[in-house]
Amino acid sequence: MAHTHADTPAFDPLDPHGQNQPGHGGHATHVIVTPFMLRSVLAILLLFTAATVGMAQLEMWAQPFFGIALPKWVNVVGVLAIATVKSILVVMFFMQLRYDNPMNSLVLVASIFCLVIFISFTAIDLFTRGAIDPVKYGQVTKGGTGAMVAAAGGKPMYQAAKDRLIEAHGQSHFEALEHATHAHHPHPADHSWYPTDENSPNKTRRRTGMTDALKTDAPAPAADHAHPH
Amino acid sequence: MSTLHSKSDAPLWQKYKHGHHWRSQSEEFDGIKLGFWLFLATEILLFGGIFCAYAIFRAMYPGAWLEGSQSLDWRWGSINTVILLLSSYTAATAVFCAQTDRQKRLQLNLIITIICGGIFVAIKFLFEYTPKWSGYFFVLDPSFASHAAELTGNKAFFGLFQEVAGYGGKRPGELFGYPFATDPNIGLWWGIYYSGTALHALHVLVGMALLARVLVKSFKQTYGPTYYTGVEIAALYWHLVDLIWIFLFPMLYLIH
Repeated sequence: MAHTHADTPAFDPLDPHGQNQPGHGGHATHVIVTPFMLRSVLAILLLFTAATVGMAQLEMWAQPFFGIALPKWVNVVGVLAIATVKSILVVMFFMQLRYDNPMNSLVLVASIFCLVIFISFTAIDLFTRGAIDPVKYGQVTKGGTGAMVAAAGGKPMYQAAKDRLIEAHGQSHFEALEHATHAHHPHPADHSWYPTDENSPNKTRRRTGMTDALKTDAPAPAADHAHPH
Repeated sequence: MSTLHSKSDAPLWQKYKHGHHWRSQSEEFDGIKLGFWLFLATEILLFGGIFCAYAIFRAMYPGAWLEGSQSLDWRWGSINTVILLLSSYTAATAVFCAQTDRQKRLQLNLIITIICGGIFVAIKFLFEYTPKWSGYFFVLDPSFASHAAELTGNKAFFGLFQEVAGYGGKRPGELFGYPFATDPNIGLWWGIYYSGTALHALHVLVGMALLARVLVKSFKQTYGPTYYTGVEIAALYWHLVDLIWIFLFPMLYLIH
């Protein structure tokens, strides 16, 4: 599959024992990855790309068709597993780590190790404060609505944008535009198959486990997103 | 370089002398490559910040992520994935051509790689960023036809861009202004989307610049079997850009 240079080791006074010659002293040899290998890897990568897109599309189609709701992790784990396999192929053959000095692989693995620490420790901190000390759970304040932005006037930004349009063009214009926009960008509420937590007049969802809705003090489920169709 | 004006007919790569602080050319090559891998490790950690923010915010605001990923067209993402994979293949082939002294094919592969990078960035800016940010569609955009009924009549850039009513405003953070969003945290999604893909697009542009430099030098037969460090390094950078996209694509377009 891969072969090394046909180097002719001449005597080098700076390297009398030939330690820097290819194939000597554990030194990395420069490998030529053949075009056949590269083409094969490309074909497999394209195949995996088709597989990952197909999987996501199949899932979107199958859930309403069979009336099932797959757990969310199926989609996440599936596409990320394929992405991981693809990246390993790129790293091993296109970036030639398979034939390279192991030190380079070590650098890559170390960086991924740091990345795992980075993400997992952030998650451990943010999502388990309540488990250790319930009082501290309040420290994780959900935000990100943009309500503090001056232009939003204290409202969440998506609400401010909506109000701006209604103020400028009127409610009927907003509704007409919303109808047109929905045709191209279905909102999550439109996907009746999507396992939301709300029951609606059209659909009753079986409750399993101790969900919030079973508690008497839980807030009433929001009304379905109404829009003219 | 004095070697440029040498009277010898030998190509430039044969006359390459390694730095005086290296014992051999092979050692120089390995040293440069290790150094570059260390740089690539910092690149992975740079994007790691965005991956981390994506994972944490997705766990905290699943509704915003669901709504956001449905605003992206998986077809553009898929086309760009195929383009980047092809360009990665041509970059790897360029290294092979340099190693085996196929000068014309080396140049051809570098040119194809650079063109693929250009197409990637063009698709990103013309068909994805511009409509989402401003509501203006490029007239050659295939999805433009389905929006023809909702045109506002506003045009930009010699009529090449036309505004579709109620489409724009999908911007990050405090710039957000899309009136039909339903999730209060949707601004976070667009923040992650733009920072992730724009940082990646910037890397595509830098990679194109590196490859262009290698291409210019390759016209002088700078690279050959005994010296191809520049091609190898530019290709490694390009593969990293591909690697990041291999993860960004499913994270943004396919996970819902």
